[in-house]
Amino acid sequence: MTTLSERSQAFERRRTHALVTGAAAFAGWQITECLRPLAPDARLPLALLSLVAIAVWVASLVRTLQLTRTLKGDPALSSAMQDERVRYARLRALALGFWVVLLAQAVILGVVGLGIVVPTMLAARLSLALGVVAAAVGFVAYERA
Amino acid sequence: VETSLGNRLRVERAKRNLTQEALAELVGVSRKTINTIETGRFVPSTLVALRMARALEVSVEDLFFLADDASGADPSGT
Repeated sequence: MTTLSERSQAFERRRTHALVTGAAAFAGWQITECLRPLAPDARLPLALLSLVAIAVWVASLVRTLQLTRTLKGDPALSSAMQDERVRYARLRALALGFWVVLLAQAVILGVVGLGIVVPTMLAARLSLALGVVAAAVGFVAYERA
Repeated sequence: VETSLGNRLRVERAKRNLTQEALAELVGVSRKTINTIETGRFVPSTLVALRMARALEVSVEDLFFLADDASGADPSGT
């Protein structure tokens, strides 16, 4: 039987891995989708890359769900891994993601204001990807601090 | 006057020969949370402060105190 401290460390490693992998895969998926219309010659490889990124992202989501189930079966670990410091880090990360999305939208608005055409899908994908990555990386950073 | 929260957590924990891990388990938080509270990087809720006090068999006032930012002094001098 492992100690709570050992279980906590192992859980933290798995949670960080799932979050960072998921955020990277999500960003990869959005970036390849943004690039596809811009590079007609590379549509097939970009589509394949996009599929791989989606598969990795889905796998990281499944991994996150499995981790949630692990907590349900271990109340002591659940209490330690979802304590108020972790909840506060989650809240700060969500706020960071929100501000990054707002900032991205403001930058896109500024670019459009300069007369540069920004396709709606590109704007949506970019701000979404930046927000998701900022929130995920922010959580890992705040949780470690 | 700006004040911050000081604590004697490390001292009280040492008196009882408790590791951060052991106290964390008693309180129901992670070891990292105990560490960040001890070093003043995280201010616990009233609930966690009360649980810590109970685990260490002291009053909350024995564990936490308002510290002047300039001095950061522990009023008991410990």
